[in-house]
Amino acid sequence: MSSPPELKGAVEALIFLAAEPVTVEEMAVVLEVRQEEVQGAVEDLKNDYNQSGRGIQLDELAGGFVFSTRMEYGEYVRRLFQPGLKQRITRASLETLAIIAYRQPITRGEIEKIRGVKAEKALFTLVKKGLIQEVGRLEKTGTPILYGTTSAFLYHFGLADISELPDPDGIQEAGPPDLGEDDSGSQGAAEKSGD
Amino acid sequence: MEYNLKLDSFEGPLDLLIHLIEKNQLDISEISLHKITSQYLDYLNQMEEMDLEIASEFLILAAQLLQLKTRNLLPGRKAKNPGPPPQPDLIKRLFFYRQIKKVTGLLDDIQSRRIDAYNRDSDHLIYFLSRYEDLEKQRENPLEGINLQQLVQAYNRACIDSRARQKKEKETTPNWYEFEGETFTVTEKMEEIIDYCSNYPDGFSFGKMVQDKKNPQEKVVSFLALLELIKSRKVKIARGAQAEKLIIKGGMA
Repeated sequence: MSSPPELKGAVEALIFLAAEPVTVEEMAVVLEVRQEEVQGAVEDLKNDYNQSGRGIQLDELAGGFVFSTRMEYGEYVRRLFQPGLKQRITRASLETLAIIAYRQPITRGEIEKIRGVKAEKALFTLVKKGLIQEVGRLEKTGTPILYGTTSAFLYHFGLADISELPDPDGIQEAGPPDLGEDDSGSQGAAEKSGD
Repeated sequence: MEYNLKLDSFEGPLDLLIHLIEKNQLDISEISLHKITSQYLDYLNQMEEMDLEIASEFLILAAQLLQLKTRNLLPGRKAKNPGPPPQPDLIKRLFFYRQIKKVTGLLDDIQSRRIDAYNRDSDHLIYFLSRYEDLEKQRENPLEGINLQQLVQAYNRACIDSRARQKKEKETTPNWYEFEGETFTVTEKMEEIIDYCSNYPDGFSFGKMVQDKKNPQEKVVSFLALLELIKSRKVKIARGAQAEKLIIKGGMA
């Protein structure tokens, strides 16, 4: 086995057939080239696809590369394939999701303190949609569930990873206000489960 | 009315507070909270008037607002505590909640931009190509331009027509009517309508179909059958020359 003569073509083939985002590392292994070379080929390919008139674009989603249909053609894609594929997340769920995305891992109690309302329903919906998942338990009375976002979340918002979230006013650094509860949020996260 | 807002458009009491603060063009501060306390309470009253169940969270916040307000009214307290009073917990919460609202909006923008882009492995994407005819059917509205009222009118009219005809017949025919335990099934009537459709390719009125039916039960069952066929898109309805007359056409199946 050896490296392919046309690296860009090989990268295109791998990403084309993949059902899940392919990482640069994975491609580098099978193509027997350095990761930087793969990265370069991916960028080249991205530029090719970004030429106007293409129906497909190359996206970095959830840590890997995938082809996505261009949003201009969403309507036609829906017509041919079964409709109702992607659903908008409602405002109430979105607010809860935003809190989790920026504050994960976080318990239901903490979410409710921030929102000032119950979050049970929103959490249920978000778990059902696979946008959040249980990532551990907080080591305190009742061992409450800690929630975090999933790769489906990254997918839904077209993000390569969680750091691509918009960061207005440095919300990620600015700690939440002291809401009168012991701030042991990050300790329990040690025992992460799942992926 | 001043608060003619959609009541469920607030995600909670904090959302409502932020709204009131912004509406009054205030900053988040204790003074602002004092200013909008009465507006907040008005809002709750309005909810009550509209018989909406006020979530307990709204009431708890009302109590907190009132507590903040009364604390400042108490004499002597201020003198004992020189310097600025500690920032109420509520203020901090509001600041943070406002940030969350902002990012929620940003996420909503992102999802709007992203929602039309599809990937192969989208869990929701069902690889199931609809047959072209199915697609056409999906797009066609079998009740194009017809509202429920017109449908009911057509039914009523058909009933009146046939009643008038029966009355006429009664005058000319022997004065008896046999009530037999006849039963009519929707399936049977659906078949009958389909038959009519093939006999009248240009369409026919519902009245025409039920005009000979003397038993009201039969008419009702026929109407149910028609609704069933519309639902399963086996027939479609068009407006006739007279507005209240609806024309049934087959051929969608």
